[in-house]
This record gives sequence, structure tokens and C-alpha cells, in this order.
Amino acid sequence: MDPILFIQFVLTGAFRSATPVLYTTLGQTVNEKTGVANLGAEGCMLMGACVGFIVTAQTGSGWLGALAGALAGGLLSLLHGYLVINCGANQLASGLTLMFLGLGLTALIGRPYVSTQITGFDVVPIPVLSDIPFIGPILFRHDVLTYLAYLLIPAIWFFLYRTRWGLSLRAVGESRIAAFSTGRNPALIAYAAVFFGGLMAGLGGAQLSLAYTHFWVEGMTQGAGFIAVALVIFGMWHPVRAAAGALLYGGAVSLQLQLQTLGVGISPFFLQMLPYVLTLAILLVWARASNRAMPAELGRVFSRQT
Amino acid sequence: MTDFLVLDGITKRFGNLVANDQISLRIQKQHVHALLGENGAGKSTLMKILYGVYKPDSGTIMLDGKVVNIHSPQASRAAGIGMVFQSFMLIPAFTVIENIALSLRDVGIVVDERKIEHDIREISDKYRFDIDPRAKVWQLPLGAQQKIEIIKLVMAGARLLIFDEPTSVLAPHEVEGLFDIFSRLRSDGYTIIFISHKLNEVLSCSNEITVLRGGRVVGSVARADATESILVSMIVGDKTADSRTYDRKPIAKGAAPVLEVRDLSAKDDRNRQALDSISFNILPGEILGIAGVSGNGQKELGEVIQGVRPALSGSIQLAGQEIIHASIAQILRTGVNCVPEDPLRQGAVPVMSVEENLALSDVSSAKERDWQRMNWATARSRASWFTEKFGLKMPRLNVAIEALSGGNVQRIVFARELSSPAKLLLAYYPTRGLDIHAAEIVRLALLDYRDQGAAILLISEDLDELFAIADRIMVMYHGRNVGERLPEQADVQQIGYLMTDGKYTPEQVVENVS
Amino acid sequence: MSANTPSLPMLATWQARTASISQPLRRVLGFVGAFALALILFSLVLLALGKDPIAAYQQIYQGALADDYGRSEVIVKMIPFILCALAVAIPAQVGLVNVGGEGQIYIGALFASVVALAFGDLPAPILIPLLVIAGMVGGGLWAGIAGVLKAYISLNETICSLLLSYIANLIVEYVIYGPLKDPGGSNWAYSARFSDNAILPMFGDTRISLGIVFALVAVGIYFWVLNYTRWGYKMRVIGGNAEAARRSGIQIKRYIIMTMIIGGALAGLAGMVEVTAIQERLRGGISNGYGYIGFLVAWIAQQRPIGIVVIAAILGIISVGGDWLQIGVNLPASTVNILMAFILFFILRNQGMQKKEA
Repeated sequence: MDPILFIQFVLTGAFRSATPVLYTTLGQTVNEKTGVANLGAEGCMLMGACVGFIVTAQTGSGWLGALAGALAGGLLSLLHGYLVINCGANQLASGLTLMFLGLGLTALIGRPYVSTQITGFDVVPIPVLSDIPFIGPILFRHDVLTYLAYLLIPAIWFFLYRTRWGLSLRAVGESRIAAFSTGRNPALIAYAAVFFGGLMAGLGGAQLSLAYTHFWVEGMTQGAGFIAVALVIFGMWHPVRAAAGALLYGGAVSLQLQLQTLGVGISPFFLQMLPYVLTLAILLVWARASNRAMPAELGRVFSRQT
Repeated sequence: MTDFLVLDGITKRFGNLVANDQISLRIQKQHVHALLGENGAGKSTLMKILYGVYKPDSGTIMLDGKVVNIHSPQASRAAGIGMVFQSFMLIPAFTVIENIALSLRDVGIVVDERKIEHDIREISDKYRFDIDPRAKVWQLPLGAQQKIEIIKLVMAGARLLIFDEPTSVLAPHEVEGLFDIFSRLRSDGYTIIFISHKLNEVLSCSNEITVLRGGRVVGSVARADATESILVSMIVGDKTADSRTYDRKPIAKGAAPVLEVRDLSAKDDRNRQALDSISFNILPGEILGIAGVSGNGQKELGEVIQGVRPALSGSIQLAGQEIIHASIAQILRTGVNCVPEDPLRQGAVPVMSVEENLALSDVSSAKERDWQRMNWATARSRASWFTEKFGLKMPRLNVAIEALSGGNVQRIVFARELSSPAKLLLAYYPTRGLDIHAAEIVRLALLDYRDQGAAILLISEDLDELFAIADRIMVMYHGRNVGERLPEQADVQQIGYLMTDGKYTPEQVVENVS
Repeated sequence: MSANTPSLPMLATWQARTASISQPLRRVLGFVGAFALALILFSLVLLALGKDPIAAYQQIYQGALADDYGRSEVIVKMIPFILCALAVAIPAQVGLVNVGGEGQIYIGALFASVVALAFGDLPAPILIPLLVIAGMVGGGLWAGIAGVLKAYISLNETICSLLLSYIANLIVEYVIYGPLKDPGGSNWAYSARFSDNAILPMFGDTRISLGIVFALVAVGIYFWVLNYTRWGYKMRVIGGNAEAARRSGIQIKRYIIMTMIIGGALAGLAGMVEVTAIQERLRGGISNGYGYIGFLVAWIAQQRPIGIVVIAAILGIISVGGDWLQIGVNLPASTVNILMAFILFFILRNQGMQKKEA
């Protein structure tokens, strides 16, 4: 195959495959910046994928499905928020609760829809831009939800670093007591951030079942939620870097798929391993810098005062 | 002179404890009003009431003639009250601008960093703070961080500034600077409350002094009428504040030193030179008091001796053994005990009970094997031994440490470390934060330990204490040993100069006299 | 009480001050309350989806408790649950969170399978111990990687063990499709069947293997170490305040690595039991989330030894019963995950409310 075409396919696939993880990792960056880690993002993604699929199947509208999926993820994450913020629970234990809940609930409610067919989101090429040679198909021939995700990257960056609300949010993640002393309510802010994280994970899951594929299957996220959480650390809690990580992940997945179609004699399993190995390698190299970039309150149990 | 703040009959109870008992005060406008008292006298409770963290059970507060109801920190701020705490409410990872922005009430949705930066520079120039708004707070020294707190309050429109023990984080020359800032603020119209337990500072900067004891106001005096002895008798009550000299055993002549430190160098946490080829000895049965402003290497010195911090070069011999490369466990086994600076964070396990914490010093013992049981009986006996010998009450054994007050945690750690003999005891600020009675017992316990033949390295910020119980005083400055004096022969002035300047020259003597 | 037992129950802390009800009784009551609430909430969820909760519970009872086979299956499930719970509980004593149990199971299974296939001719009394060692080495190695990285470069062990988990799963997939693929098995992806010597002996005609002995012995040793040795005390000091532990001379790095290795070894042992007793070969999907369920068990039991056994039994009942839901009332097996999640939810909520009392 023509090498340029190959690269084009890989890069296009990278952008497409990255979207669910991108949504989730952006959302998780926001809630980790407030000091709450949500290992149950996987559960939120599953809820988004399943509920989104069901709503689309029932209403015929992709947008309603995407909205429903996002809300489902958000609502699930509020349980995590309750345990962590109100009950002072260990964040990892609470996160895994979400994961189990998401797995079980979606298996149950999604069962009747396993072989349902839907028209979700199709690829919508952007006029003119998508005709640019080489870059056009890579960047501008995707579904609407993917475009939305990429618009979110600068929006979230701006929100976190240039607005008053972003300042409050980051302050809660660095020092709850300092935020409290300036009249802010750390618990409320943390709740909002956790909800947003769940919303994004739900949206990412919805993109998976409504755009990237058009079906629902039990457990279809295959650990994407966990990857997204790892990428937050990879990105050192900065939304743009985390997004780059999501893209890298998408690239690895895409590369694996392309090599497979070419019949290249590398076992598909090694290629599937690539994203995880890559993330691990990055973590190894950047471990020390990561520790400094970490929000000071991350993982710390919420106490009665806050 | 008009009253700015009037407190009338403020009372606050916590269960059976009456922290503030019918407190009535008048604070004049544009005064620096000092609030003096021991730990536990009720100062911090009163301040928390003013700051809106606690609500008084009864009593009224009048600010500038109007009754105010301070039900929350926001209300307190809205009333114009600003507080500079001992531990700063700053976010280390944020810049100065971001920290200030966090405290402002009228920041727009999009934060205008440039305007804030401009305002910060304006205030910084006005009061000669010399702060770079773009710096990250973790990079700044504590004195600068304190100034950021002041900027916050000025920008928030506070009119009454309350400083809670502000000099505890400052070097002596910085203390002068702080009092300068007080007078500049005063002339700009601010009223200042200055909480302290240090008499000399209170005498050098305040216009009026109020003394609290046991939750009550003992009295208020104008500066002109106050002397050290009047204040001391107000603080201490009917106890006589005498400076005793202690009986002690003579140090064995010609004994080999227990601790020999030669040309020791080490870096601090920020990779700066903390110890600079420092050398000294300690004999058995001797207390070597380390005098020095906090931050001149005392902390690092102890850490290197303990093995907690690596040394860059030099040698440390303990009872003839070279320990510079030894592990912490090996050093402990060779015979070093340590009363740490922050007992809760460095010497205790919060979730464990008092009893389990008392066993912590057995962990490195060479006698037992790890598959054997811990010796709970020995651990338990440590508390009762200390109570019997020195008369200081210990908390109950089965209470979790995290439920105890700081003072109680200190007692347990102290008792634990002094209950087993050691060749060398490192004692960091052992009487810090303790009330007079407990502090006295700690000093007696240290002397007793010394009399049994241990060498003690005593780090203390209380020069009077060092003069009272140390056999020899060594001054540390910039990580070096800049002078050793016998307390009988030295005077506080000399030591003071060595501490702040690293040298003591005849010219300084002349300046002093004239 | 002898002079050498601590006057305070092992892990109870702030409640020691005002316990009017005894500690263990409080815990049990707390669990019963949480369990009851979880059952109620689960029933409500089923009702809301138009399913019959009573039928579901009956099915679970039928499958897990009504007959000998069901009851024996519960014990079979308890083996990996207990071992994986210990894999979480032991590192948790020093403050580590090991969520890589899945991966440690797989690598343990892999190592055991390699030995079983390569040395299948050895007599069972020699082969079985070799398999045990192989399983433990595999799991211990895999967890040890995360432990070493945590000890020396402070790499977060949760993320690390999780990533390694996924990699382990894929390694096993690669192996069963590749080097170890059963030559006589047409296109199915699994290894050749192990020789009879490699099959773990079982009790009667149940599937309860020697694994239960391993599991219970492991719990016993855990109990002893935690309460009656200096190791246990040092571990708890590290978990309680690492800085104080360090200054007392405890070698924290050593304990981090050792607890991860031991925890991983136990998970690896679970993997070995799975392939030599249940599957009799290496195949994909041998662990049905055992690593995560182990995490649940450890957390619900608050890392206490006896609690781990009890909770493993309860979750075993739910899990075995859950497998029957598909057949009996046409609900996916995964449905019981909801119940397990609710139990953990209410337990965590309990723990939080207890903290607030103090």
C-alpha cells in the first residue's frame, strides 16, 4: 500500500478512535483538578453508551441519545460524589463501586437492545476544509460528536485557567481549606466537577455506541474509562496534554487496526498492548514531574469540616 | 481616641471548658493593640469568634460604633476584619496573582490578571514588600508569604487587621521589618491586633496591651505604663516568675565525646546549602544548646545525624562509630533517640492508639526478631513511668492519638523517647507550645536524662531556656558553627549578634554602648 | 488478657473512646444493615425494570444454597475471592492500593500452565507443588513490578497495576492463540489439556480443590502476621504514617515491594487453582473479574481476616446464584454486579457516618 495513504488512514483512524477516550479524559482532568479521582469513569461510559443507544433506538434521534447518555453518566457519578464528598469514602473503592454498578445495570437494561440497529451519527464532512489534500480527510471528515470534542479542548483550557470558576475549581484541588477561607464551598465545587466528569464520560460512551459504532454490546467500552484516567496523569493534569495523550492512544489503536488489515504478521495482541505499554512507559519517564504537577488534595479523604 | 472595636461580655463554651469567659475589651482606632497570654488562655478562641469561625454563646461585638453579627468568615470579612494566620491560607502551586485573585470578591468571570498584578505591585511598593506577583508561592520564603497575606487583606478592604503570632515564622531582622509595616499601616488608618506570647516584641511595637489568662481578661495597660515584670505577673498570676538555676551533675572531665561532627555538609529540601562544613563535639552528660534563627541548618543537622537526610561530605562519629553512611535503623540502634519538631507528623501514627504509639521506638531494636510479638507491656509502662517520675499526666492508653490535643501528643512522644536510655538525644523545640508547668517538667526531664550520662543536642528558639539548661551554647548561622559560649560567661546580646549576623565584632560593641 | 496482647482490638481506632457497644458487634450490625439496604435497593431496581425480585432471589437461593452442588460451588468461588481479597488487603496495610489482581491471576495461571504442559509427566506429588510455586512466582512477579516502581520512583501503584492487568490479559491471549495453542483443538483458542498429574486434587465429586486449603491457610497466616508479629505492626505503622515509620528506622521500600509481591503471589495462586482445577487448561477469560471482586471483598471486610472469609462467602453465594439467573429468570449474570455494588456502597456510607460520629 502507498505509505502516504497508510499514514493518512492511521491518522484519520486516530482521531476517530480517540473520541470516547478524549471526552472521558477531559472530564476526568476537570474532576481530578478538584481533587477527586473517579476510577468508575468506565461505569459512566458504559451508562452513556447503553442509555444513549436505547434512547436513540426509541426516539430515532442521535442527539437525544447523546444527551441522555451524557446525563446517565453524570447521574451515576453523583453517587461517587456522594460517597467521596459526603461520606468521606476512599476514592478508589468508591470508583470501583461505580464500575460494578455500570457493568451490571447496563448489562441488564441493554440486554433487549443487543441486536438492535440504529442510525446514529454519521460522518459529516466539513465543506471545503475536508477537501484539503492529506489533512482534509484526517481532520474534517468525522461525526459531529468528534468535532464537539475537539472544540471542548480549548474551551476547557480557557475555563480552567482564565475564568474565576476555573480558579475556584483548581483552588479546591490544591487546598480545600484555603478555598473555604475565601468563602467558597469546596463540597459543592467538587460535586459540580465530579458531575461534569461523569457527563463527559457518558458523552464519550454515547459516541462509542452512536457514532464510532452503531451497536450496543455488554461491556463494550473495554477499559476505555481506565485508559482515560491513566491519561489524566499522563497529561499531568493539563487538559491539552491529556488530549494529546488521548490522540496518541487513538493512534496506537488505529495503527493496530491498519496493520491488521494489511495482514502484517505481528500478532494483533501485541498491537492491542501498545497503548497500555506506551502509557506505562510515559509514566515511567515522567514520574517525578508528575508528582509535582499533581493537585495537592487529590485522593485526600474529605473530612467533616469541608 | 475613639474605640474601633468593642467586645462586651463575650463568652464561649466547649462542653465543660469555658474558653472565653465574659471577655470585654476596647480597642482604639489606629492602635496596635497586643493580646498577650499563655497557650490555652483563650486568645485563639477569641480570634476565631472575631473571624466568624465560632459564634459566641453570649456577648456583643461593636465595630466602629455599630453592633455587628459575625456569623461566618464572609460576614467577618464584609465587616472589614482581616486575619493573618500562623499557617498561611496560600496555595503553594499558584502564583501570587492567582492567590490574590482567589481572595478578591469582585473578580469578573474572566480573571483580569494584569489589573491584579498592577494592584499588587502598587501595594508592594507602598509598603516596601518587594514581592514579584508572578512568582509561585512555593518559591517564596515565609516572610514574603506573610506579606502576601497582608496584601490580600488590604485589597479586600479590611480595616482591622489581626495578626496571630506573626513572628513565629520570621527571622529577627524580619521582625523589625514587620513592626515597621505595623506603623505604616497604622498611619494609613488601619487598626491592628497583635497576638503574641513574646513580651519583648509586644513591648516594642504596641500602643496598648491586654492580658488574657484562663479565658478571662486580666487587665489592659497602655504601653507607657507597662513593664516586663507587670506583664509577667499578669500573665502568670500568682506564680512567681523566677528564673531558676538548676542543679546538675558536673560533666566528667576528659571523657571521650559521644558525638563528634567534622566538616559536615549537606543540602536542604530546596537543594541549597544547609550545612557548611560544620564541626562540633558533645561530651557525655552534656547538653549542647543550639541557638540560631530557624532556618540556619538546625533542622538539617538533626536530620543528617539521624540518618534521615544524606550528607554530602564530612564525618559523624557516635561513641567512636562512624555513622555518616549508616541507615536510620542502625543509627537508632547505636543509641540515638529523637524528640521531633512535629511530633504528630514525624513521630506518631494518628490512627493508632496511645499504647501502640508508645511501642514505636521498639521498632528498630536489635533484640527481637520480626516474627515475634511486640512487647506491649514495655510500651504500656512508658507512660506510667513518666507520670510517676515527673508528675505529668498522660492520656489514656486506648485512645487514638488523632483524638488528642497537640500538647498531649507531644507528651507521649517525649515520654517515649526519654523512657529508654540513649547515648545521644536529639531534642527539637521540646517546650514549644507547652504551658509553663509542662515546659518546666520537660526541662527537668531533660536535665535528668543528661545526669544519667546521655549527651543531648537541644534545639530551641527560647534563648532564656538555652541559657537556663544548656551546659554549652553553640550558635548556628548559615549552616556553620559560628561560636560556642558557656552560658555563665556569655551574654544574650553576643549570642543575638552571632545568630543574626554570624559574627560578633568590637565595633558592634561600641555601637551598642553609644 | 496476657501482657503481650494489645489492649486494643487490631484496627479499631476512634471509636475506642466511646464504644458503648463492643467493637466487633458494631461492625457486624453495620454490615447487616448495609446488606439489608442493598437488598432493598436492588429489589427496587429490579421492580423498576419490570423484573421480579422475589423470583430473582429465589433463583439465587436455588442455585447457591438449596443443594450440595450449589453449596460446594460457593466454596469453589470462595477460593479466588479470598486469595484476591488478600492480594488487596496485604498491600493495603502499608497504604497501597492493588487493583491489578486480574493481571496477577493471569500471569500466575500462565506460569503454572507452562510448567504443567512442560513437566506433565512428573508424578503429582512433585508436580503440584511445582505448579503452586509457579503460580505464586508469576503473580508475585507481576505485582512486584508495580511494587518496585512505586518504591523507587513513586509511580502510582493503582494505575500501574491496572495497566499491567490489561497487558497480562493480552499476553495470555497471545499465548493461547500462538505458542501454547492446542494442536488438536481445531480453531478454539486454548492450550492443550493438562495431564492428570497436573490437576489439583478435589474433595469428593465436588469441584472444591486443594485451593480452599491454600486460601484458608493464607488467611490464617495473614491473621497471625498482622496481630502477633512485629511485621504486622510495622506494616500498620507505614500505612498509618509513612514519615513516622521512616524516622523509626522501618525500611519502607522493602515493605512496599514485599507486600505487593506477596499479594500478587496469592492472586497468582488463584490463577493456578483456576487452570489446574477448574479449567484443566489455559484459556482466555479464566478470571471473571475475580481481581475486582477481591477488591470488593477486602474493602467491605475492611481488610480484616475473618471478615474476608465471611464476605467472600456472601459474595460467593451471590455470584453462584447470579450465574443461574440467566437460566432461571432470563437475567444476565452480570446483574448481580449491581447487588455487589450496592453492598459496597452502603458499607462505604457506613464507614463515612462512623467517622462523623467521632
